[in-house]
Amino acid sequence: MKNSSEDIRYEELLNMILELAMGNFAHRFQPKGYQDHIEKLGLMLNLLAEELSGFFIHPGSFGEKDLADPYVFMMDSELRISGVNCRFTDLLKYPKLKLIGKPITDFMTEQAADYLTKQLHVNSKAEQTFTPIRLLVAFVSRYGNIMECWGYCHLLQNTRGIYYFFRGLPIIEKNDPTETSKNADQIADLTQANAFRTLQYQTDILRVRKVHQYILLNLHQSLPPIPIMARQFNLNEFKLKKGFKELYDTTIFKFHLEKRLEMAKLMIKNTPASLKIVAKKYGFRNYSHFSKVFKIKYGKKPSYYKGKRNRF
Amino acid sequence: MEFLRTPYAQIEVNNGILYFTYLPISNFNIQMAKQVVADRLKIQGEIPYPILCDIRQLNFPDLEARRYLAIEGSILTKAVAYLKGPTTDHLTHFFVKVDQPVVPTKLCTSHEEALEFLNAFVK
Repeated sequence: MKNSSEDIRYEELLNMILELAMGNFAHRFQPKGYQDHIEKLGLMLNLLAEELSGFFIHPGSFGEKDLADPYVFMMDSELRISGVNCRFTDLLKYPKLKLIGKPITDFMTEQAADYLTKQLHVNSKAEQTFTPIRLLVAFVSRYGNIMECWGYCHLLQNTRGIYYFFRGLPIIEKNDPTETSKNADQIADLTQANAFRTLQYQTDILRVRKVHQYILLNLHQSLPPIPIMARQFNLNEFKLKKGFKELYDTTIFKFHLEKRLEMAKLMIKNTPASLKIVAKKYGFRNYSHFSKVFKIKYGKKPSYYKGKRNRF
Repeated sequence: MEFLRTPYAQIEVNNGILYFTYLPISNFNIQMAKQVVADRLKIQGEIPYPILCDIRQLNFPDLEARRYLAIEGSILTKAVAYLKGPTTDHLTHFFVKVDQPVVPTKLCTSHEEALEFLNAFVK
């Protein structure tokens, strides 16, 4: 009886992984109240689904207008295709059964295959599992057309091993098969031409996320100038400014100011701390300056919120 | 000694440490997270404390609530020791690793371990 119940719950876990692979991030594993590994893994997958949906609905991930029509495929640790959506089969012009079980590299240009293999190998080895790897790869369709495509690749793990989950959009189609000689460096260079796509590699994304965390740790004081922050986090100024905007949809200094104001408002509403002390605690040079920017954001002076709890 | 019991938690200040014990909560969302933080601030006045946070009965917060607890939830906290249970250890680890609270944090399996960590932050 127990085994049967376990089997059903195990099937639910597998189903959850498949739902994720199909891009259904709203699906959830239903906890049953057991205290075992299946329950733990199910809850972890629920958290992963939330995080993944955050990446994909963020305007910095893809153009919002393109979200409705992504291609999706899943690979095992040997880079063999284990699942595809119909968008991807349409892209390559192969029937589903001709793709499943085959190495993904069979459907890419040689250079792109090397690039993908290298990137996944490097990032998997570094256990960079929290941030997806952003890649530009070139697929070859059944009729020899080459499609260069942006995508995010996530590393997933379950009890049976590692899987790669890839989701992306075709951006360029080339009809000349001789273009297959384009090497990985040239593919990377293409990305430089697209000013909006500033963050090319996972390391850049990780660095910008560190900047985000740094700002949160420094809400009590002014931030250093951009050139100094850029040096501190090994980014150039352009990547720091544009990259932050792409990932968080706001500028560094606007984010810093707004977070300080939010924290200050919370303090004002819920503690007896004086307005001047709150202003000082969050690094405003004086109360007058604090009051002015506070009113611009909330439409009321800080004193309006003093003692007004439960008005979120 | 200050003490407050809300629908979501039991909060107590004793010997310079704030003991925050979550009660069983289903569907822990952003509104609950905001209420929890506001209740804690109310009992603290304007004094920052090291916090022993007992999450053994907690149903894990959703994404928005976790983000709020990691950042806004750090107001007036010197450090947080999370007392984890057998079913919440991996979830707590996820919170600390992914949501990254902005104060010193430690995952503990006993009161003694938590107090040893927090005592360094008591004035």
